[in-house]
Amino acid sequence: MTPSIRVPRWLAFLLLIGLPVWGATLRAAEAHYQVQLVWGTDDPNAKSGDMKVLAPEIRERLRQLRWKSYFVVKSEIASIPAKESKRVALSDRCAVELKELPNGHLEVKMFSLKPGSDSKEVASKTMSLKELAEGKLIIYAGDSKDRWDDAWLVIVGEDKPAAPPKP
Amino acid sequence: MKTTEFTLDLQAYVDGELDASHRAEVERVLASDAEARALVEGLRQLSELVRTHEPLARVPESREFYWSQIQRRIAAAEVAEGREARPASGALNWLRWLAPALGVAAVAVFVVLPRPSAETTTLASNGPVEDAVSMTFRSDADGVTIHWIN
Repeated sequence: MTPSIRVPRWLAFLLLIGLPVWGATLRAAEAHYQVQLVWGTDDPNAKSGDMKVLAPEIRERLRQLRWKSYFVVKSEIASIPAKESKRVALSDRCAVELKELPNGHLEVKMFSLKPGSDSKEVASKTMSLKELAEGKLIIYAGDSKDRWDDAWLVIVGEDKPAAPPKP
Repeated sequence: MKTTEFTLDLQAYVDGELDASHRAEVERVLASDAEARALVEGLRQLSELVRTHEPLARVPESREFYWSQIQRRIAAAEVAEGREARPASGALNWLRWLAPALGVAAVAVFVVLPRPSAETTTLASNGPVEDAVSMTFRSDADGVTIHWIN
C-alpha cells in the first residue's frame, strides 16, 4: 500500500499563488537583452548558410546606413542579474559586456579579442534603461577588416524590442 | 683816482668772486677810501637793479623736449611705484602668479574633463580613455544610436 502524502490546503494554496510570483520576481530581477552581431554588405546573399537575414523591423531602422543587406552572424539573449555584468562573446575577435548601472543606464562595453592575449576594451557607451524599454537600440559598428566595403554591427536592445517609436 | 685794475677788483668783490686774501686787501682799502666805498655801493645798487628788473629770457620748448619731459616723468613715477610696491610684493609675490595660474588651471580642467554633448540626454558616459569610437550617430525617429569604431 502506497503511503499518501497529505499536503495541507493552506500550503497548497500558498504554493499555487507563491510559485508563479516567485518565478516572476526572479525573472524581473534579471534583465534580458538581445545582442546581435550583424554583417552589412551589398551582396544579396549571405556568405554562410548559418546567417539569417536581419529582422525587417530592425533593418528598417538602419536605413541611414548604406548597405543593401544585413545578415545576423550571431544572436544571443543575455540575462543580466542585478548589479552584475554579463560578457557575451560574439566572435573570436569581439565581445561585449553588459551591466545595468545604479544610475538607470545600461553600460555596453566593447572588447577586442586576440588569441593568446588579454581582451582589450575599445569602447564603452551607455543608454538609459528607459529608452531601452521603449525599444531603442544601442549599436556599435565599423568597417570590416575581412572584406572591403563591408561592415560589422553589434546591435544591443531589450529582448523582443518594441516597435520603433513614432517621430 | 683808483686804477682800472682796482676798479675791476671792486667789481669782483661786489660779485663775490675774490679769494680770501684779495677780499681782505680790498676791505682794508675800502675802510680808508670813501670814493672806493661809494663805487662799491653804486655797483651793488646796479647789481640789485639788474637782478630785480631784468626780464627773463625763456627759451621756447621744442616738441621733442616737451614729450621727453613727459617720458621722464612717467619713468620716474614707475620707479617710485616700484619702490613703494616692493615691500608688499615681497611678502605676497605669489599672488602675482595666482591669477594666471588659475587661468591656466581653468583651461586645463575645461580641456581634460568630459564635456556634455548632444548625446547627454541619452548617453551617460563616454567610455574609457582609449575609446575607439570616432563618430556617434543618433536617430530618434528610428530609435537607434550608432557608435562608429575605426
